[in-house]
Amino acid sequence: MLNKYQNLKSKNKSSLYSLTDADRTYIDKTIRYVCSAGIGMLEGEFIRKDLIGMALEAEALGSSLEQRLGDAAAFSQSLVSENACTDLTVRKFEKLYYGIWQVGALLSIMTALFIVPLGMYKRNISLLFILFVVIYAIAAYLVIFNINRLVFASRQCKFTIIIFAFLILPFILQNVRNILLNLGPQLPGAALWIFLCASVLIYITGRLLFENFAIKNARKNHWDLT
Amino acid sequence: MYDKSQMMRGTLEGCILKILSIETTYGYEIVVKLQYYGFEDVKEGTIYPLLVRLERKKMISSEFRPSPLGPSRKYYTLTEDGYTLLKEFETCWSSVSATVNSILTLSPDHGSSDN
Repeated sequence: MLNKYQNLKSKNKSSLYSLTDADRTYIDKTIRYVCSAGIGMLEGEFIRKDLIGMALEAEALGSSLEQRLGDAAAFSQSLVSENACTDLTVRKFEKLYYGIWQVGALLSIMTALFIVPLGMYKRNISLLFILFVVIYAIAAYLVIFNINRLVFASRQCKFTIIIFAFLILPFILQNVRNILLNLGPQLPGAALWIFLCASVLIYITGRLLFENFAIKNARKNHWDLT
Repeated sequence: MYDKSQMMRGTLEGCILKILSIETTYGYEIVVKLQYYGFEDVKEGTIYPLLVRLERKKMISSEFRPSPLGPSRKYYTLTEDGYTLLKEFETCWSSVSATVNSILTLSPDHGSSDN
């Protein structure tokens, strides 16, 4: 069952399909940038809703969002400079709860992969390996979240990051995995099932915390989440 | 050539509040009015971040209404706090414009501090 934030996100996503590619890209880049650069995620979805309405109207008049709002990078930077969340506590808690939710999801997926296709529950598992997986999930979330700030970066910058991600990182991970699997205190393979349950619990907790926070924040600002 | 856009940008928020004090309207209509009265370079991309900020500060409120073009439009209304802010802007503007006008009317005879 979708929570209210995901409900709004899902409605926005389905409205996006009726837009042209150019307008969809404009909105996507703007929202990715503003949410990572200082505007809250919930507020970002409300802005997305507004932009979709403007895009539909622009298209009905034979125009485009870029013609109406100007360059996407300049518009996004203007949005952030005028509206960056000044209440840092709100922003901190939103990022924290969203982080717990997403890290829980990453951990659940990775653990499920270790158990089902790789069958790692049949052998002993190093405690260090589990710790590494947790650190990797947190790092991956932070990278994915913050990489959205590069959405307007040059092609060379993005190309460099892609090269690093696809060539060098798997090489490092493969070697680390081989070492960590056999190093340090060993746990029975069944511990992976407990770890999977814990990951799913973290995911659910994070999601509930974020939803609760989103509802309270929406009420405080008189935003309509329905 | 003097760049007047910076000067106009500083007064944009007050002008938006004034337009909304007259009638509830939507973003594109605000842009059309601003362009009509002399803000030639203003686009909806310039005023939308200001509208978001004003709404967050509860100076304006918004609601979606059906539009003849199909998708619902977001209409903005001035709140009571917005009226207060508008009055403060009008007072500040009177004071600043009077000060600037006084300085601009200075002539070489009156400008020297030795006199």
